[in-house]
Amino acid sequence: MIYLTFIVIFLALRMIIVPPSFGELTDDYTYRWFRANSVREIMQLDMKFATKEMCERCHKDKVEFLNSGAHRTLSCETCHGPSMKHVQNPGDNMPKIDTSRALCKLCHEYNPTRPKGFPQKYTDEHGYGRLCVDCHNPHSPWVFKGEVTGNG
Amino acid sequence: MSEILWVVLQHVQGYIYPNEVEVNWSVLIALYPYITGLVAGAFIVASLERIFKVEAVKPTYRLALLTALAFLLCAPLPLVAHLGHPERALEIMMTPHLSSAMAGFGFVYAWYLMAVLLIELYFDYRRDIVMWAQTERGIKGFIYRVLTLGDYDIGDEATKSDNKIVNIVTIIGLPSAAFLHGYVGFIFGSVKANHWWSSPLMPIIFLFSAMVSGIALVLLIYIASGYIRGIELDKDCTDTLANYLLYSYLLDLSLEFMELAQLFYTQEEGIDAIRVLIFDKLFWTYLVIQVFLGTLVPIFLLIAARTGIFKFNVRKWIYIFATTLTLIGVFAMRWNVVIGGQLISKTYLGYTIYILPLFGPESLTLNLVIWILPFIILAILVKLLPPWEDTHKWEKAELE
Amino acid sequence: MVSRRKLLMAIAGLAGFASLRKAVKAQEPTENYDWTKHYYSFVVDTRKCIGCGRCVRACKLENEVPLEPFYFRTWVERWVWLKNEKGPKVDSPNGGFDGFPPKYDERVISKSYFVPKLCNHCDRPPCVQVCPVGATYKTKDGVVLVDEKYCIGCRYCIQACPYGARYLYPRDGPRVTRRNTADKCTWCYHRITRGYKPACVEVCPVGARKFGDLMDPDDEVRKIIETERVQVLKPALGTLPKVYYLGIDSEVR
Repeated sequence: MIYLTFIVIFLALRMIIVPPSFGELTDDYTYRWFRANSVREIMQLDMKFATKEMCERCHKDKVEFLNSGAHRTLSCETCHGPSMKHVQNPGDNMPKIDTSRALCKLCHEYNPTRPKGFPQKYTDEHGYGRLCVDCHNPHSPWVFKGEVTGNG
Repeated sequence: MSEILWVVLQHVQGYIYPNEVEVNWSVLIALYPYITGLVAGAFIVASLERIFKVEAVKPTYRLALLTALAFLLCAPLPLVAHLGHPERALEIMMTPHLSSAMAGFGFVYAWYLMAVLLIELYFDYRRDIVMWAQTERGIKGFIYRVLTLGDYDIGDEATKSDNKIVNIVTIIGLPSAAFLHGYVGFIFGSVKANHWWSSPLMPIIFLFSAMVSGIALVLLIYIASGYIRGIELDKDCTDTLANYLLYSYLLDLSLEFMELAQLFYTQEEGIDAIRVLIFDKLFWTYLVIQVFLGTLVPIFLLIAARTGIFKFNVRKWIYIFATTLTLIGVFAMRWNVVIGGQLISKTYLGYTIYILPLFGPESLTLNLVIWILPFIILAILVKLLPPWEDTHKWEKAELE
Repeated sequence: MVSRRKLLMAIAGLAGFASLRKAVKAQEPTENYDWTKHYYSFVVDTRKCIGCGRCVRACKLENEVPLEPFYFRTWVERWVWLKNEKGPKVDSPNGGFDGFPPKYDERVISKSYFVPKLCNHCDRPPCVQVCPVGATYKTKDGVVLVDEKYCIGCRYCIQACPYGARYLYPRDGPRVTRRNTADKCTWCYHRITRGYKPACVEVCPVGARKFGDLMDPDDEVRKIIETERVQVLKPALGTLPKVYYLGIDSEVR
């Protein structure tokens, strides 16, 4: 009757509307019912952050210096921000170099919730009025620049 | 949208996951089970006469079916309005993921609409449609002639087989109506992440409060129709409907009580948060509107009406009052489940708030529009397919 | 007449059946990456986390997540227990994006630490189970992803996630194709399939976040899971999360 034509139209419509790659990689209906091209698309998204290894390719000395000091557990981009564009096009897109006290405070301002033994300071009483990087080398913080008096 | 969220953020209490500031299922999702509940309830009123042979409610049989149809046609509206990508809505029928209760929507809805309601209406009205097709003129006549689908046979045998078909379809329709609304309850009841929702009783509670709201709606429309048409109401019909309303109310109340009792007895992890939810966050919508005004007061009124100490005129007003309160109370129940469940955080340590915008998507205005639309459709359907037994008297009244 | 009708019905039935069943052709999505050779896992060491919030920021920048405080793929919570008080005090100002301003005097603190949170990429993800259209799925290498072109934005998965890991990408978000769809942490699938680490793991200055491949015998994460006492969040819900925590109390949700 009329209903049968509805069903036939529905099935025909389905063959047109459903994306072709749907179910291509489905071996588990409950957890893997999807459009296969979606995985391919997600794999091809752009990276905004590079990696420390990529920085090392060109900035070997800097990274070696970094790995020799207390900041060896950091990645370059922890402070310098996303740098993939710079890796792809080294002349442009220079990563930010933020020398403000605010950046260092993010990790090193005294906060009782941080684990014991982590280097923290009450920054209001430490080097107030100057930039942290005036005394501390940001890539190896226990390497001091110029004269450092006892009061910090 | 973000502007509202900034306001909500200021009112957040305790600790909630940062993604939980936004209440994801808005009032539209509270409206949807309300509408399908009315459909299921109205269909149950219709089946009272057909299957359970309660002769007294026969005057409301066709009215209940038309009400069910009018609301069913509007049921997908709140859902589609709520979707982030309504243009992709057909995907739910094209690639349904049946491990999800929501995936059943397209098929259950299509089944109920096409295989149950339309067939039942068509075969029940067929004799009248054929007669009207032969007597009416103009656009109405044209519509009737189309509706006959070319079959003008209204002899005894044809009418008898029509009747049989309607009986079969009603019997199939009862579980279908239950499924149409029960699966919505299951959508909530199966979410183990949410302590307010997760319960095996949820589908049943939804179903019974749907029955309550459906019977109340049909009763209210029947009484209203009496006023609009200026015709005496059938006392037996009205009283019987009110009785069934009372019975389903008592069942509904005991089920909701059972669920609450279970929650407070087992005292699982989220119980402190739920206690705050019920007695503080949802105090007005739950304790005052849903429980007191929406359940206890109507039950009391219906019991009072049943005692027979009131004359029919007074009883009519009691029914009007009780059914209006019921309809508000059942909506409050949907609100409390849907939005209440999202007010408590999954951390059990905090609460967010829900702000209902007046205009725009997911707003009060849109809700009112979707809520009023079925009544307009019902008015058109009643004009087109009059459900009254005394059609000829009605036509005469219109001509005069 | 009747036989023709029957033939039509048979054809319709066959066509319908054929359209529903597609042979599972390939086993890997692309040629240069075989997803059957990897099975990823994540470890969060809360004994090391300093609450600097670099991970939250890196994730938002890497994955075009809106910067408002209502949308997070990952965030950091601060759990504080005060002396003489029952129950923890938890907060997460802007998800930890700008760090954590001091809130309690250390003299009243009994214990406190930071807990980074992210999608747990459960092995039995309730979010995948409830998706009505098949827009979210679990890959063979164990990562739960969302198809932004297919998601209808019904938000059922957001309700079903017990960890609050999902959110709806707002209608005014930076990435146009992702608007009004569900979004969540993907373990930076676009990075890990190229052999790199997720952005949050990459920038963590103390190594509190660790990402690894359980199929790799020398993997650090595999070693931790096999030798140390690890925990997962909300194990009673049976979701089998794959993010393992070191150093949290059982009270942490």
